[in-house]
Amino acid sequence: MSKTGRATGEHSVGSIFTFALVGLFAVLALLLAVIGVRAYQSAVNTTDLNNQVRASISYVANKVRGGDNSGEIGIEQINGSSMLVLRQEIDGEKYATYIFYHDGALREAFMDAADEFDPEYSEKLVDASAFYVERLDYGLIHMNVSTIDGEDYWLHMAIRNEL
Amino acid sequence: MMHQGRRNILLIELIIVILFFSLSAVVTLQVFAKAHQRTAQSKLITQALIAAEDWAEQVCVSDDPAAYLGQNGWTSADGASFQHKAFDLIDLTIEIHPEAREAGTYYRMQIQASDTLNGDVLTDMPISRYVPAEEGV
Repeated sequence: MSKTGRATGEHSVGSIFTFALVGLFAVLALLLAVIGVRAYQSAVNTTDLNNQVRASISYVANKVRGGDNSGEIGIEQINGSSMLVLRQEIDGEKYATYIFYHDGALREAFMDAADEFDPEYSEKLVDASAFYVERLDYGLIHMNVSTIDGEDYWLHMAIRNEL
Repeated sequence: MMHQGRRNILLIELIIVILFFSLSAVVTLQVFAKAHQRTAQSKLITQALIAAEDWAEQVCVSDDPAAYLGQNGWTSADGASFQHKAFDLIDLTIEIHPEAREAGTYYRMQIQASDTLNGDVLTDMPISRYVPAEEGV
């Protein structure tokens, strides 16, 4: 091989190596970005799920504890689904708080106890895929919340008024 | 000759950039791993708290906590310390200390939820229950 030919060969090998390095750099940068996005997405999803669970379970538990002191706690079946009903009297007027599952969310409605229950007049608490509540022996209430990811969380609550 | 020198400089520059990038990637990946670990830990703590609260509420209305736990899948070697698993990754333990009083039995209990993998305590709460003599067993 002539001197010029060898020089051209070395030149092209050098160029290919340089381009390979640039390519490697680009691929690694892309990979890191993808891993970062996935890690961030996973963290956000878990946090979101955590918030859903905390918001639903803790909120309902606090409502039951509040109602345990001041009023009557009941469970009613409306449209085939169970619903937590907390009745209370404010300035001689009777009111009811309904906590129930409707349209992909756990919802709450506060209305005059004499009014007919309508889920349209309610506020969304948190996204969920199911909510179930039942009364057990010894003054226990058992509630079950399914998150939108399909995870089930349940809590038993003792009604202190009935102990 | 001048061409060769410029190419070598470019190559060294690239290698330095890639080295720097690799170092940054290592640090960034560690941060991602830690963030992932933290969210998993946060989820575990939420589950531990829910599980502990769930059983605490059940036990505090039972007239005979030890019998109640035995009927509901808890295991015990000595009749005073009960173990159970919740959410696959949480070990629950309830210690029951009954104290005989004049008019009944006072149950002093402690519920503890710990991580199955490393044994770290996630939550620990006291429970108490007083059972008058005519209701107790």
